[in-house]
Amino acid sequence: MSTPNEKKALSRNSTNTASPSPDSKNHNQDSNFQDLESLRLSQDFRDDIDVSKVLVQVPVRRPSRQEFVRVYDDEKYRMDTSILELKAERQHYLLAPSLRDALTGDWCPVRLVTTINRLGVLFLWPLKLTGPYGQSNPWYETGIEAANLATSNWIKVVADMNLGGYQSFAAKADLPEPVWPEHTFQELLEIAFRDHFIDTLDHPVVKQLLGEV
Amino acid sequence: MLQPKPPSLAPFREVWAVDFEFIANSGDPPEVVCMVALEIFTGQLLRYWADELRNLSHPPFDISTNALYIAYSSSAECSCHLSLGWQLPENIFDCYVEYCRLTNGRRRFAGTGLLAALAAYGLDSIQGDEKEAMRNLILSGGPWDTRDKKNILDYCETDVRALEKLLPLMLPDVLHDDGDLHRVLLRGRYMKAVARMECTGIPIDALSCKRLQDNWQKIKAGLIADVDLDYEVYDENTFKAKLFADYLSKERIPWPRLESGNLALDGNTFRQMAKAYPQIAPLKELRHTLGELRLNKLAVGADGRNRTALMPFRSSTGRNQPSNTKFIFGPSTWLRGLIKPPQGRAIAYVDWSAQEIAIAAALSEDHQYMEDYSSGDIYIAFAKTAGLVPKDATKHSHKEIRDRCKQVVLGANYGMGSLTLASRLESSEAHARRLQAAHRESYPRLYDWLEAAIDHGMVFGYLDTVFGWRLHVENDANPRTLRNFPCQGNGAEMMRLACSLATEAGLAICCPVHDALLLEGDINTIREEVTQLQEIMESASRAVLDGFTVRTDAEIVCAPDRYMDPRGQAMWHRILNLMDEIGSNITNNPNPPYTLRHGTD
Repeated sequence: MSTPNEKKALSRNSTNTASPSPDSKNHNQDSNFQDLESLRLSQDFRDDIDVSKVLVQVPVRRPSRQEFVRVYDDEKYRMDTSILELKAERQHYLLAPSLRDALTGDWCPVRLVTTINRLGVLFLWPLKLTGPYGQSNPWYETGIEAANLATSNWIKVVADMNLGGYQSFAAKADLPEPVWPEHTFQELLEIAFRDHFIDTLDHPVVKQLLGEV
Repeated sequence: MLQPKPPSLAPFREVWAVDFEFIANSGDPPEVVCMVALEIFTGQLLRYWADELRNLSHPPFDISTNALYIAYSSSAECSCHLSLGWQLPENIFDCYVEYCRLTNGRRRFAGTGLLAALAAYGLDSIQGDEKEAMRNLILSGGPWDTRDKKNILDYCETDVRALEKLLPLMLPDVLHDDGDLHRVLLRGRYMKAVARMECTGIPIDALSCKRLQDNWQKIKAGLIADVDLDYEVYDENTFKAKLFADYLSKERIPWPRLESGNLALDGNTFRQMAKAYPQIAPLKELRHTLGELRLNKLAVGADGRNRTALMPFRSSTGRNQPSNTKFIFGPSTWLRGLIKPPQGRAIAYVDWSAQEIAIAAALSEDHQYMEDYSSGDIYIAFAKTAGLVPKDATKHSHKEIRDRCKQVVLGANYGMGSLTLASRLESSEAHARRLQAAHRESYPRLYDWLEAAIDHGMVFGYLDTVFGWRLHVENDANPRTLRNFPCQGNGAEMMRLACSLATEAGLAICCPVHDALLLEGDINTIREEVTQLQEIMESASRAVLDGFTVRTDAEIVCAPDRYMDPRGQAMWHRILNLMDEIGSNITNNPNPPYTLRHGTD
């Protein structure tokens, strides 16, 4: 019984499951609302509208030091190839195998891995396998280790000058798995290198490198 | 002219269009003058004057499940039923509600009255000035001679005849399948709840209200002198923008400006800025109190209860929109201190906990968000999910970050900008953006769903709630409105269901207040009634959210205590002190006993 001057705060705890199973739909037992179930209109606007994101750009870059990323753990979504990098412009060009001998010293062997950040932005991470003349160093090695780690963990990659390599940091939170796009790797490559593919020595970038322009 | 019954109304043996004329003094229940009812498909016409109606123990036509009751803004008709001690009709088709739904979000050139609906369907009606003259004749309260009575009944009949013409034109726009009819009746069911709540009203400390009204001019001057001590922005009771600019400069508060370069001094800007800079709140409350509060407009009936039309379905989300000046739950929060249960009675403010967040979580089917809501403290749960605090953090151990996360969560549904959030958090925009990104990263399905709502609205031209309240989308639609509509509109559905069930169960619901219901009960039984109401509200949430429960909280105030909104407490105490100085105390005596009239059903 309440008494005068009583001011109470009551709170009810109810149980919800995060993923309601048919059994957990206890509203069916709310007799006053039994007839309402058939009147419900869909609120899943995603199904109704069926809008899908059109992938128009796939950057080729390293993860920034702040972003947590995952690497697609599927051999079909990675490729060892040759990349020609214009450092001043921060541009990467995919080099046709037939031009490798002619441009020795200007390109590096890289592993392109399909990468995604927490905001769902997809990009190709170019991991250098060796230097232009086949030399290795700790930066390349720790970069590859970081990418391997990112196949099963959300990590961020930070350059550590004291270490002389990349330091990997795994997210502490229990983050959900990334949602990968349905594009094939070939499609990703085509979008990423649409205007950045060198297959002739007449390409303006090659001419620039050879001092012809 | 008689018309064939359309197949969509086949379930009903009789279809009655009904209209009452009544006198409604401010705050009092309606006093019935006359009624006209017309069975649309047989042409049977009933015309009754008030004295004849009062001799009837039930309506002179069928209101059972076999019949359909047609009215325009039927809460008024239902209020007349309650005044006469009649049962309420089982099935209501409210042409006002359906006209509001058909035009919701579209430009309305003539409002939502019966004349507007008739004009929209190309139907003739009596002229506005003729209608006005008849209303004045009715509101004069009589005495009416035989000719006046005939004229008033004729006038009442014109509205019924208008419904007779309107209904068949409206039906094809409203009813497309069986489900539509049931959804129409569900909205009609709520109109009955509205009538019951308007009949119950809100218990007011009428004596103190009268004293406030009598001394209002002196209080206003005293308030300025009192509040302005901290600001020095008034000169001879006039707010001076220049002095306010000096205050802002001294306090280093960045204030929004108009295109002209002048300070934005509208109520909304003050409201927003008071959230970011709480030191502004007393000045905001003072400006509102001085500028917008019309204390003498507060609708308090002879029995000391605040009653005003709740204006159901008036807002685009389908929520009620009662008059700010007539309703005690208008924007002046301190005024709510006048709410006081009568002797032997208690009131309870029962609200859904973080209702809009729960709706977004459940309808987007973002399982992480659902789980975090169900943990009991969504704000600290979000901080944990985003990795902003350790897993064992509590709202006590990490209060500051929890408060920050609360602002992020509250702003997410309607797409609060990073600048606004930064202002609320008193932090850099970069920090605000980081927190917003953490929220987006933690609940990706939620964001997909919010964005999909905008896309759906723009592609199909409308958005529907679970039970079919529709927002039409025009070319100049604001994406934030579309993004927020599913949460607000379904919140309104939940409120309507709960009001319907609670009033049908005999609970004395005084009114809904956004995501809360105000309940009144006997001091000895109020706790049981609160429990019953909480069960009803939670089952309403499950009906709307496909099985997901939105928790409820309740606060009980027993006579002789008064209700108090924490946001208005400081202003209330200022006014108490001023009343003391004036020598007219706010009484702490209990309100006299009151016999609550429950609507029969």
